Amino acid sequence: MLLIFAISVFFFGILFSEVSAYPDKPIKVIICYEAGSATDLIGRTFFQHIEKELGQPFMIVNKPGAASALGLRELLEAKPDGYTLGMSCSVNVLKILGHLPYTHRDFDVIGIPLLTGSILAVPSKSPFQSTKALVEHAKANPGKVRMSTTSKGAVFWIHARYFERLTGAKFNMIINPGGASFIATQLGGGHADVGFAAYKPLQSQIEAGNIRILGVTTEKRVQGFPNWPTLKEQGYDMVVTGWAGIVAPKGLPSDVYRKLVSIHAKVAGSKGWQDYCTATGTMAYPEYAGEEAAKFLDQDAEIQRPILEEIGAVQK
Amino acid sequence: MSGIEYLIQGFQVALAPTNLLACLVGVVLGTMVGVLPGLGPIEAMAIMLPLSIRYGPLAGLILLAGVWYGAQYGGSTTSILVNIPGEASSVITCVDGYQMTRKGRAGAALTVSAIGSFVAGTIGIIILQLFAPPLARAALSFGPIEYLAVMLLAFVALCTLGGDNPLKGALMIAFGAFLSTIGIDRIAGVQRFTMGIPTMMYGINFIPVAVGLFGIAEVIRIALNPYAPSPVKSIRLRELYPNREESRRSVMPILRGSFIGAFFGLLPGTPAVLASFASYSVEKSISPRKAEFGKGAIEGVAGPESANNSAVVIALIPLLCLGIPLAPVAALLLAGLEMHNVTPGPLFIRDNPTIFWGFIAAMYLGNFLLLVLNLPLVGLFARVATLRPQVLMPIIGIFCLIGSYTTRMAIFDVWVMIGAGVVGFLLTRLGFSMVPLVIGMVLGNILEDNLRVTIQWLNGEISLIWTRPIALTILALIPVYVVFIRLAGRKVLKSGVSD
Amino acid sequence: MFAEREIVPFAGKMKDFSRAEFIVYCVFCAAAAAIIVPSVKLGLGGKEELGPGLLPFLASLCVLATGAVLAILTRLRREKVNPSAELEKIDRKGWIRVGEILFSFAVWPLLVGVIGYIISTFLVSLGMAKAIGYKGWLRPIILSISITFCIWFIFGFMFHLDLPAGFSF
Repeated sequence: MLLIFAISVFFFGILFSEVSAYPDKPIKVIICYEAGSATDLIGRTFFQHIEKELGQPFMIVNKPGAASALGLRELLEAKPDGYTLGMSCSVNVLKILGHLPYTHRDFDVIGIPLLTGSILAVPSKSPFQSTKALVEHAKANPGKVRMSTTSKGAVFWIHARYFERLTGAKFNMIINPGGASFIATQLGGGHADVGFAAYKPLQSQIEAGNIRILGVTTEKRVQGFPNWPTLKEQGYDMVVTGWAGIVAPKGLPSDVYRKLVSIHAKVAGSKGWQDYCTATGTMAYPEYAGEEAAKFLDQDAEIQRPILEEIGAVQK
Repeated sequence: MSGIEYLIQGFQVALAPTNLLACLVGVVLGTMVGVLPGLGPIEAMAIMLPLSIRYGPLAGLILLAGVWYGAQYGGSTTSILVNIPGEASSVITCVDGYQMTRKGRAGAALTVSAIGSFVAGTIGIIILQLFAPPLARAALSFGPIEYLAVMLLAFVALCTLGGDNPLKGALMIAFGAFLSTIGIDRIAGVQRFTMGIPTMMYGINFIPVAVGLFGIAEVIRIALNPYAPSPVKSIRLRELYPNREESRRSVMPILRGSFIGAFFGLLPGTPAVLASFASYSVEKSISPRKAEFGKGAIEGVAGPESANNSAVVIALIPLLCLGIPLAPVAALLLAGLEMHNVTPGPLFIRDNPTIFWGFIAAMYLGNFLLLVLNLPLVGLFARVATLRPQVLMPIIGIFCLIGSYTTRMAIFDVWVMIGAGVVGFLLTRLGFSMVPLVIGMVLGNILEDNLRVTIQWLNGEISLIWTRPIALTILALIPVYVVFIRLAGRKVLKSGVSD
Repeated sequence: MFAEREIVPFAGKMKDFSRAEFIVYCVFCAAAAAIIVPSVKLGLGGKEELGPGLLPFLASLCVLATGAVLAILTRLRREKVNPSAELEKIDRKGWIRVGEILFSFAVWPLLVGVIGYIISTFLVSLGMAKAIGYKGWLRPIILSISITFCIWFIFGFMFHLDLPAGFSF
């Protein structure tokens, strides 16, 4: 009798220890962008918040390259035990772009901690006071208005080309290999006429008064910055959001998956994170976790696909 | 409050225990990381980032920045002692530094390098303290054309480093330029010569190549005859430090290097690398002892090592005053600050005087700490050079292997390093210099990017150049520079070479 | 460690040296020629935008041109002997050592994914020590153990880097 009791206690012990054991060691996160970049910052901040919930530290590793394809490749080879995660902003379109023969459905999607609209910005000395003025001038002078943007295939470039296509105006695209910081320098210094970027890279120049905002690509006005008009309300139906997503190799044990997803939702909805988003002009929807997040990525891919096709970024 | 009063306040803040500790940890770690081949300031800073968040924004900034300029100090140590560039900006130091070691003057080289770094760093901080805001505004007024003009000037300056045979030098530069194109094109997004290997998509990493070309090639060369007697039998204390002649010859290169480095610090990309190359080129061009360069001229160590330190300090200006990280390493510092909700930018100095002045004071401190740390170690380090190859080579070999792996955590880089070692060994035996190859790899990227962005900007209207006074001034400087260099070289020859 | 280092041909036959140089130039020329067409295909661009193929194209042209000129010069050059410069004595044993060192280097990336960096580092450092002529076995093994420990301490412990563990550690 005692023996059976002992054995069952032992078994229960193992059962419980397995369930509550995750995570029992640090978790590695592959951020597929360079250390110090906008996504890297978002990731580090978010995982700082999660660390408090999960109780285990996160070891962040930066593996930039090919619009996150290189880092994701490595993630695919990791064990699906919940101890390796990845962060990417383009996981759903990499197959279309030809960088990776997989989509987000080949991963276990944990959640989308943050979405951001793009800002249409001009140097503060610019004669354009509204998007309409800008578009009309650009249409009248095709190829003369300089739009500062990032490398082909990158998020802000996609937004810039989308804007071109939507308005029918032709801009002179200045493609900066260095990233969004250079959009800030070019606009701040007056070397370009207009540009699309997220708030963070432009923040210091905006605060200094060197850059002015014409519009933002969100559905409604951004909570923290109510005086930014949306492009939609100005008559340009451009609602495109960049996002950062957290994924894991496919095949996570269901309890690990559930735990990660629920913690993601909890942190994304927490006051600390929501405040961060308000302050940085971004948005977080706690419901974008787990399967809901995967569905969002499905939809986002379908929105991006025609743009990518039309601008010739698709690799056949 | 005047500047001096701010500075004094800054020192009081910087000497607070937490900040002082952060400074110490930062520079020590930075030096270590600089010494280790492969691991560079970026990786070390990334590792330190979580730690830096635990302390306040000032301590975190001090820690991370300390790692950065500490790495510049440490990087030269292995370059001089064993011909292995600790990091990209120490590559050129290998050329003359290692030759000095082979002549038994390792201690002198290390000392001059440390002192030069200190002087240049201090000069850089002074410039930053006094001129940061106007310099930042100047940096903002640099558009694509201006950057291209500067790069062209740099290219002309670096052409003199082609080695003894200009044809061979040109071959190496072109080869290096080609290597720099491998990977995903940063502008058009297409793959160039990646041959289907995924890791190649990000290009051939520079550090493993540099470590291989210089370090591994030398290991292979020593393997050919490891029993040769060493001229450095023992090191007396007197020989550890530069003699009078060497000290005299180092003064001007250090000063020149400080200002050259400061100039390059404002440019985007990797300012320290370009600065060190430019300084070497200038020193070689105007020195009466041109022929000694490549065989152990102390100017070839003093100049570049100073330039790379002041460049790093000045590179902080666009970050602090504009909030724009022009160098990838600066982006990490930005991340560190942002995580404390401090956004650098034009309002930074006004809104956060404690942080700004505390940071400046900490930089002076850190610079000084590095000197104090490194000088006594010169003796220890110089003795490393006396180790016999049987012991030294395995140590070097393993550290290079592991180091090249840790740059990107990719085995591919290890193979690149080994391959570069073989290529470097063979080419050096056949009379090629590795310096133009390295220049080609570094400049290829930069020039191409700047040229393409400029052409996009011009959009066919070349005449627009005439509307850019800054660019025109810089372009006009190119023939001026060439003439000046020729005159300076000739004048010294004419006036007779004493000593 | 050696006499004044000058870039001089090794002590062997001058003809071997010129032949080696010539071969190298031919290799460069051939590689450059092979790159030219793909470069053009990448796109040279026009007045308004420079294509991704431009730099590779120019670089490979330059390599081709300089390589060809140098190859021709090698063929035309008469054999010169430079008795005043000290030549490094190379013998067959030297080249064997070179081979052994290279082999040691190559073994590390091959093994490290399989058996982890601790064992690989130990084995490779031992191999290098022996290849460079470290006599005996006890001292080289002590050296290898120390090196491996240092590596573990610095990279694994201090920096917490993820060195490959293979199936061991």
